[in-house]
Amino acid sequence: MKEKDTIYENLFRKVAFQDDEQAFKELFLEFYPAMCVFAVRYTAQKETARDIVQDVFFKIWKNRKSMNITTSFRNFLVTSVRNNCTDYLRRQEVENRYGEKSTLSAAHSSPEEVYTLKELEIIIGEALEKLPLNVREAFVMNRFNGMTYAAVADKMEVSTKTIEAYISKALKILRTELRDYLPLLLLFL
Amino acid sequence: MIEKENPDSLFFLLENYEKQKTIDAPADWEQLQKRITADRNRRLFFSYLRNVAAVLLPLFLAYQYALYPILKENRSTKETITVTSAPGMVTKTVLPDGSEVWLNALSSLTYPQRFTEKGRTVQLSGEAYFKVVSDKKHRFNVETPRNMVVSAYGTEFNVNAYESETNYEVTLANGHIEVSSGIGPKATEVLVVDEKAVLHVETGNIHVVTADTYVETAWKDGKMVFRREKLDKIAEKLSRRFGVDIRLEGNRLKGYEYTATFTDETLEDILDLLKRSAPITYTISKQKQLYNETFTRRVVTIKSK
Repeated sequence: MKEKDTIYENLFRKVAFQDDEQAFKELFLEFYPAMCVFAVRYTAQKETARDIVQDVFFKIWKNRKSMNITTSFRNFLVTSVRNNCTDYLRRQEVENRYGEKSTLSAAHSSPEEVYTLKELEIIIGEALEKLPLNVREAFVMNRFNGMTYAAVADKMEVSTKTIEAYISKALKILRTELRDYLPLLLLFL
Repeated sequence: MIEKENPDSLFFLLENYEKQKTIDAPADWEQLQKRITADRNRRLFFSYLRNVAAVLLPLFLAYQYALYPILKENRSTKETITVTSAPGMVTKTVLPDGSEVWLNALSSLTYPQRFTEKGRTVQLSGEAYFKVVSDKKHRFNVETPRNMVVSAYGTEFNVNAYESETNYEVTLANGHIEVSSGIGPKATEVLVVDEKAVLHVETGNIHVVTADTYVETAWKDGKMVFRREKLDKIAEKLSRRFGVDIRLEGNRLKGYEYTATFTDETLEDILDLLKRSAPITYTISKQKQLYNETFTRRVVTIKSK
């Protein structure tokens, strides 16, 4: 992902120094979905997450001249969104002090790795390439087209058992292929 | 600390991909773009306001502190003040530059409310004693009827320019002055202390003679000082001082000369003294009441015995 990150750094430089709104749009389209999904893990509400991420982008545009990003743009974005989410949750907590417990604890165990849609497409696409053709077909139909095992079996004219075997095989291969990208659970011992 | 793969992480990754696909980024970009544009417009408006203020403020300050005083000065120089002295009175006034002026009876002085940069110019009709504050940059000019101009920087001098008189007189008490006549051949005379310029009104000729400053300027201290003064001159001064008409009957009278100093004597006292030292008699007419309830001036008639 390192080369890709330099592209984002350059885009942000354009935003900061040339007020390039087109570059900013590119950054937004690239990261917005990933950031929303990331934020939902904290807020649990899709609408709130979208508002928070939009706010973050708006502030970035507003302060583009004075901002000093020491890490990568991606890291900066993730940190900003996370901070805004925790701020939001803290406010919520004060508002309904006796309400339900915040989802903060749940969020803690979630991995912080963020991949954009395009990246995921490439990663998963490459991994799927490694699967045998019929296994891949069964997996795509089940996973991405939302078909049940029975429906897939019916379509491929094989038994449901075979489909089950295909899927478990697919998962096994994918798990190995995607090892580098899989979020890690950090255990403190 | 060790890192261990989350058993559900593959599903998490796939799920993440699925979730991201459901988000309509272009639509939300439109929203954000609107917000950015609104913010930019607001900022442009404020920066426009700031620019307008940046232009207007110096203009306003320039008007307030530079232009307005000048305009005010110009306006005020057109406004003049006239001081007039009543018969028998000496009026003292202070000019805007601090110069002091004593106005003899029946004289008037006109001066601007504020002197301009060009110079200090006043108009005098009658007699006045000037004590001019020294200002080397601004000439002090006294303009009299018949265009006589007395010009100085910082001196003390007496100007006698009653319109009724045939000669105007300027006596210098201190410093230097220039006297120029506006009639006939343009002539300018420079006076030194204790000199007197006599301007013949008809011809515009000026001749300079030595003078006794004390005699010429004693009037400002309420004294009337005569040194071998002809009776007709004395009569004129008395009429101004006491507000009476004095008629001299017979030409011989005018040749009589007197030397005297009067301070607080009444008209009758003075006339008695004059009568005692020369063969003359006088009568003072009673005042007559006019239809409009005012009185005529008293008329003194002096005859030779």
